Amino acid sequence: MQSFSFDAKVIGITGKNGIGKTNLLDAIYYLCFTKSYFQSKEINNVQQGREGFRIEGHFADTDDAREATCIVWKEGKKKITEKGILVERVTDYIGKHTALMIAPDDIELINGASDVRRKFIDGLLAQADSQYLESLLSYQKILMQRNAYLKQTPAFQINTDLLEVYDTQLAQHGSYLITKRQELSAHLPEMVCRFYESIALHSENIGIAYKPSTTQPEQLKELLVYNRRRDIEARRTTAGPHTEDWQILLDGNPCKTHASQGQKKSLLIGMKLAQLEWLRQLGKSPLILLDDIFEKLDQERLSRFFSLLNQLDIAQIFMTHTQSESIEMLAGPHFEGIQIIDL
Amino acid sequence: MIFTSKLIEDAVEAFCKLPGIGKKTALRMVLHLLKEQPEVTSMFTERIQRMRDDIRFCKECNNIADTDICSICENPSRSKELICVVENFRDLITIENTGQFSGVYHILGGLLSPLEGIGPDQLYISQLVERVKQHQPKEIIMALSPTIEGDTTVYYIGKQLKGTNVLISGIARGIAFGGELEYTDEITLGKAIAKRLPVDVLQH
Repeated sequence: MQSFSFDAKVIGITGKNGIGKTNLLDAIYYLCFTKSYFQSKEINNVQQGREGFRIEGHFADTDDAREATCIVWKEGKKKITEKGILVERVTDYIGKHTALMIAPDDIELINGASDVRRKFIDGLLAQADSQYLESLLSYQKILMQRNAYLKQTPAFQINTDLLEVYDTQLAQHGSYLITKRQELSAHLPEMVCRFYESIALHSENIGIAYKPSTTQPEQLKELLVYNRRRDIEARRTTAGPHTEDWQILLDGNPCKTHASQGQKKSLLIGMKLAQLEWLRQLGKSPLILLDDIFEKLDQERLSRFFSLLNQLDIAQIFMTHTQSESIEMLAGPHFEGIQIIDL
Repeated sequence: MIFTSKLIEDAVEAFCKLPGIGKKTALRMVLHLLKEQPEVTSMFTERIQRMRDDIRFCKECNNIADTDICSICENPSRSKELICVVENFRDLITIENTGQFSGVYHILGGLLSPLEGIGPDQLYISQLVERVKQHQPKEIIMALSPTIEGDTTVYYIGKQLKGTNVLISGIARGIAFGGELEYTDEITLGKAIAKRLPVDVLQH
C-alpha cells in the first residue's frame, strides 16, 4: 500500500514511464466517481495476482478531513464507506466530489465515433438535471427491449401493437432528451469558442452542430413509426436519440478531416473547459486531473491554459509528466508552490 | 461435503435443488427425516407428489387451482365485474391478503420483456382479451410492478382492449403507510407530490 499527501493547490506527479502516474490520477478519479476513467472492466483495475484493490482518500472539503472515504473492490463486489459508514446507494455518493480529467485519449471526442460525443453531452446534461438522467436510463432500457424483440422475432411474426407500445414509450422519454440536447447545443459553441480563443489566441469559427433525429421533439413518435419497416428489416432501432451526433466544425469544415492536430487539441481543451464551466455553474468545484498535458499542447498554449486555470480558482490541480523540471518551468510561473511527487 | 452413504448424498442433493437451500441445511432436513418415523417421510413425499400431479390452472384466470376453476372464480360472492390483472401467483396472494379486493383476478404469468424472451405470446394476454369480450366486466385493474416492463405490459393490454367498453385503471403509487417521509426514495416522493390528492380523499 502506498499513501500520498497532497498539500499544495497544484500537484505535479512525476516518474518514469509505466511507474503509475496515470494510475494515481485515476485513483483520485475513482474516489470521486467510484469508477475508473480508463477501464470499464473492474477486474482490469486489479494488480495482477491480487484479489482486489482498496482506495482510501481524505477529502479536505468535508467537515472532518480526518475521516476517510474508502472504496474496496474484491471478488466482483464494490464497497464504499464514507466516514466508516457503508454507502448503500452509489447514486447518493456520486456527485459529492467531482473531478475533471483531461487525458490523451480524449481526442476521441473529436476524432471518434458518435457515441463518445453523446456520452459527453449526456454527461453534461445528466449532471445538471436529474430528470434528464432518469429519462436517459428509461430510454436505454426500452430501447434494449425493443431491439431484443426485433432481433429475436422473424419479420412476419412481428407484433406491431407491441412495437407501437415501445415507440410510444421511447418517444415519451426521447423527446425530452432531444429538447434538452437542443437547448444545450444552442449555447455550447459559444462557450467552447471563448475558451478556444484564449488557448489558441486567435479566433476561429467553431460550430458544434447538433443533428437531432427529428428537429421537432414531439415528432419522435412519427419518426419511429416511419422507420418501422426499416427497423424490422435491420432487426434493430435504426434512428432516434441513441444515434444522434454532433458535428464539430471549424470555419464550416468538419474538424475530423480538416483540422490540424494542434487545432484539434485546442478544441478538445476548449470543450473540456466548457465542461468545467458548466460544472462550476452548477455550483460544483471539480478537481482537475491532467494526464500528460505536456505532450498535448505546445509551450505557449500550455502557458495560456495554466494562466486560465489560475484565474478560475480551482480547488486543486493534479498533473503528470516524466520530468519535474518541465512542470516547474512551465507551470511554475502560474501557480505558487507546486508540490512535486516523484514516484 | 463428504458423505459415507450414497443414499444420504442423493437425498441431500435432492433438497439442494430447492431455492435457498444449501448443503448444510439439506443435510439437517435429511437427518431430521431419518430420526422420525418412516411414515412421516412417506406422507411428506406423497403430499408433494400429489400436489405436483393434481395441480391445475384455472381456466378462467390462470390461477393455481385444485379443480378446473379456482376457488376465487368459483366463489359467488366475488364480483365478476372487476378483474385485477397481476403478474404472478405471489402477487395475487399479496393482494388477497389485503382483504380489500372482492373482484376476480387474471394472472399474466410475467411481464413483457423480450430481453428475457417474454413476448405477448408467452403471456396469458389473449385469454384476458377473450375473457373481457365474453363477460364484459366494468373495470380492469392493472396491479403490475411500476417498472418499464410493467408499463409496457399495461400499454400493450390497453391497446388490445381498445374497442371494448371496459374501464382500465392502475393501482395508485405513492408513499408507504407508516413510513417516514425522509426515507422515501426521491422518484416516488416527487411523483407523489405531483399527483397529490385532497386531504378528505386521502383519509378514506
